Amino acid sequence: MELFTIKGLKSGTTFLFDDRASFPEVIHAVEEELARAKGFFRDSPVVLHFGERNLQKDEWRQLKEILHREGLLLRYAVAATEKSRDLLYREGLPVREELIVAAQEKKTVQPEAPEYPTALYLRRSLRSGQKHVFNGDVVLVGDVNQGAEIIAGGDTIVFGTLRGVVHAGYPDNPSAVVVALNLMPLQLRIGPYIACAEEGQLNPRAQRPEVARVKDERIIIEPYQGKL
Amino acid sequence: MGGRAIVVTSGKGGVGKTTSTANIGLGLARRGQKVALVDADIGLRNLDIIMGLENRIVYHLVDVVRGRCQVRQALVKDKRFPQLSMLPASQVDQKESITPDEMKAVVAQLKEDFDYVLIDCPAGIEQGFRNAVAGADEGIVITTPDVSPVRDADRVIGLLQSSLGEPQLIINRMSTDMVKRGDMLNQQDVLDILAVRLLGIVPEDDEVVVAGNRGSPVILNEQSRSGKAFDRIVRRILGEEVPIPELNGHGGIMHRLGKLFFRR
Repeated sequence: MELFTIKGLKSGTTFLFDDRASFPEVIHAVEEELARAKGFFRDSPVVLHFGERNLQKDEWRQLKEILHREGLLLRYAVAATEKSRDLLYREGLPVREELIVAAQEKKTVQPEAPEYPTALYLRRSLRSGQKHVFNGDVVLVGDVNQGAEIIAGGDTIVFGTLRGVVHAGYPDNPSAVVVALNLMPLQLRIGPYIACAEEGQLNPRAQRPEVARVKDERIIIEPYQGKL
Repeated sequence: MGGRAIVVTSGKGGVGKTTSTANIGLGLARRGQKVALVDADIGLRNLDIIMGLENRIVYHLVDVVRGRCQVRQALVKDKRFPQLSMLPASQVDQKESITPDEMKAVVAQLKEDFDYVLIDCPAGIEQGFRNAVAGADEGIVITTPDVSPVRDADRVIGLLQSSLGEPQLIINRMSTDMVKRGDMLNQQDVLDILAVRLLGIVPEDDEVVVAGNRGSPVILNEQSRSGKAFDRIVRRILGEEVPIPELNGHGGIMHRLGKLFFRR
């Protein structure tokens, strides 16, 4: 896990601090990230998440300096250990034991804590040569014709006929799914996995809505049973 | 005001753009319209051959754009119908010899004197295509009922939608035998994918090849099924409601799928 990550979670912008590395390393990562952000987070309310870390007073003071300098508004802190919670509380910060929605693992996709703040909703068909790339879930009401492409960081739901290429869970999330009313893609990709259509079929027509997902390291297609 | 400028395009080569342009143009002229055909396939011109006018070319499109002649001088009058004229492409230049704006200016001039300006678009989606589309107000997309041309047609429709609005579709070279054998897409398959209004279906017909070689477009042949199909398309363009007949061996059966296939 990275030393320091910034996440746009359902609970709000959250700063996650690695709880195993040495604090100087973490501080350094924080300064780097924020320098790169070039004041983007000024006046932003953020949640601080320390995980299992036992935070020391001088460590907190050092971090607080940096955060204030960046103009951040501190909403509350999350710390698993009582020691850290005590410290932060005495320092004047509201504390919680957990986030309302826990999302510490970067690779885990949890239904209550989407890693991306919104989904892309398209109410049109994609013709050959048209392409959409989105860092989240994509819902398209219409068809995706052969030669069209959707590249989504999350799930892809096509409320129509899917004949083109879809890459869900881009680049490496194997728990993403692809659903279509009529699933007839040329090629399907989920995270690092890829599946190709059978050859020689002029116009195969699926009879029902289907979902494609990764199971046992391969992409399988099943009838869509009403929920994912 | 002025005439309607319609670009006839496809993406895929060899599906019948030039044939359709020639036949629809002749059909409109035969019904009293003043028609100008513009061959936008600079470098690979074919419209003149299909029309049988290749020996009458003096000036061409690039000459007009370069100011070497007036539009009027470059127009070749059809030998059968004086209301029909053709503006040939240059065979010695390239697509890049004119710009979309230059094309637009030429077409605008033609629109002043003609009821219909049909622009025969080259294959592809590059400069030639952009030039041909530049002057048009509407589009007709040609496809055959095959997987590869349909995909190209889809691409082209996507490109036209933002500039010209939704084009209409002609499905050319439909062979009912092949469809029955499952070797060819049927009408519904094509429309499922392309999802645009169907202007007409032209059946596969050897007479078209003969006509092309003779320079006598097939619509002039009273016996040919494809000629009759083109004439129905002409009538629809003129605003008449003409049902699309069931294309089987004995032809002429009314299509029962109702509103979907009737022109407004």
